Amino acid sequence: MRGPGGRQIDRLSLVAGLVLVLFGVALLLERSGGLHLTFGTMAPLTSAVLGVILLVTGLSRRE
Amino acid sequence: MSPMADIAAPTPRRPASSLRELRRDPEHGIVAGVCEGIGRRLDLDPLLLRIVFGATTFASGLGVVAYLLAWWLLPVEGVEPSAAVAAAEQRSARNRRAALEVSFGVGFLVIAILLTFRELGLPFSDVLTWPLVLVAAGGALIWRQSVGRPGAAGTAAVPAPVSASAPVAPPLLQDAGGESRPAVISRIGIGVTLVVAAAIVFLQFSGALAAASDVALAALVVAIALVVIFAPFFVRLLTSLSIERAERIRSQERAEVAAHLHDSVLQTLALMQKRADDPREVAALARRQERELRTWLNGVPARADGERWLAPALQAAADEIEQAHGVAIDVVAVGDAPLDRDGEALVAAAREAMLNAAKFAGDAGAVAVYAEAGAERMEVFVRDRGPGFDPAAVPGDRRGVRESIVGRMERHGGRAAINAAPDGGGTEIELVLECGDPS
Repeated sequence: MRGPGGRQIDRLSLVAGLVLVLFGVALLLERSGGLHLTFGTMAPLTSAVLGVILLVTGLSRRE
Repeated sequence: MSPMADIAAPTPRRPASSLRELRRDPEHGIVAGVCEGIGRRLDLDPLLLRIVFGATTFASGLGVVAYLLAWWLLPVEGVEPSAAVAAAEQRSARNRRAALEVSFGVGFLVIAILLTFRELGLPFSDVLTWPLVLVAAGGALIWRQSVGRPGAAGTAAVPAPVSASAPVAPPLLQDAGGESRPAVISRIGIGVTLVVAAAIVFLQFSGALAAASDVALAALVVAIALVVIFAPFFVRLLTSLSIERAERIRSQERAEVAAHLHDSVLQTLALMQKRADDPREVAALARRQERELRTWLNGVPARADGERWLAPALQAAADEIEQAHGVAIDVVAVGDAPLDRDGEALVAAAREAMLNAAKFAGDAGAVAVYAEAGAERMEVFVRDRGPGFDPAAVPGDRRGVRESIVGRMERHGGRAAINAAPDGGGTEIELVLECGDPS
């Protein structure tokens, strides 16, 4: 995958960045009272974030 | 001008420029050769290093930890893997790590889904969830072993022997990647254990374990009785299958050798009889056949990934020129390395040098090509015994040497040196290309 100017985009960095942004948004919403985060919601969320990052890392590393 | 033998002489050992070059030398060392190896590479007296290790061991115990770490981490002197093997190992390690990351990633996602279901109050209880997870993991391990991994054979770093060409199915306890039997057994064992654990967990959660234990005991007794009865027959069956398999391999190997001899050696001998009046053509045919036979005997497989490597590329160029000009070209390659754009330029320059030698010095005997490839540099020497020439006296409009060899090497970050003796001492063209850090 190539970005503007033909520069190679690192898929892992892109996905990890997006996932972390979503994570940050969720935390902001929790802070502002728009979302109520408990261990029951945080645990699957954290697990999903880790899973997506690991999956993308592994798939992009495969030959 | 140095003779070819001088070119092949080993280069003197130089001090290590990085920690990656450190080696241990158990042959000359006292324990594991750590001090000996490091001392030699860093140009230090090994005795000094031994004193340092000893003192730090008695002072804080760190010395022995450092020594053990060095013993574990440093490779042994003299067993340098070739660039080809190192590249294959690196690729294999990368794929293993990728597979591990994918497995953990899928695992985390499954856990996330299960936790979400639980949070939403969906009817997913531990009675079903954890046995299912264990069965899935154990079943995946067993299925992966039984069916084999796609592409595993392609990661094998060791050249396949001649018999590998025979289409014989791999034995049950060895997968397509050629893994050792203990590794395969342990993987199957872990898989079976996970499935059994899943069954036990399910029975325990559902309260049926006590009743099941009676049934299990009865089944165990029956199984032991059956093993005692049928074990000798089973052993005999396995032995006869093994013997039959060995016979089949031998028979296929014989057929393979016979077919190859018929298609290559016998055809060439017939051709040589027809061309008996042309000694040069006969010699060329014999050399081509010899080279082909040696390659086949060495069992060097064709690279399936389509990547070009230095030694085969040089050999292909030499074959082509030898066929076109009827001049013998001996190629000797020590080590091998994959070709990038700069490497392809090196091969093209070497091909031009071989072509010039065949054109202008073909009557003076064979052209010698010596190549050495490692992780850091690739070198190619092309030498002929022709009349030689004065490079300064070459007219400006003759661009073969200037552009196709010297200019091409310089454009790709390498260098070319021409050692030519106009008095009939032959010509030697030296091509050197420094490679980047492979990591």
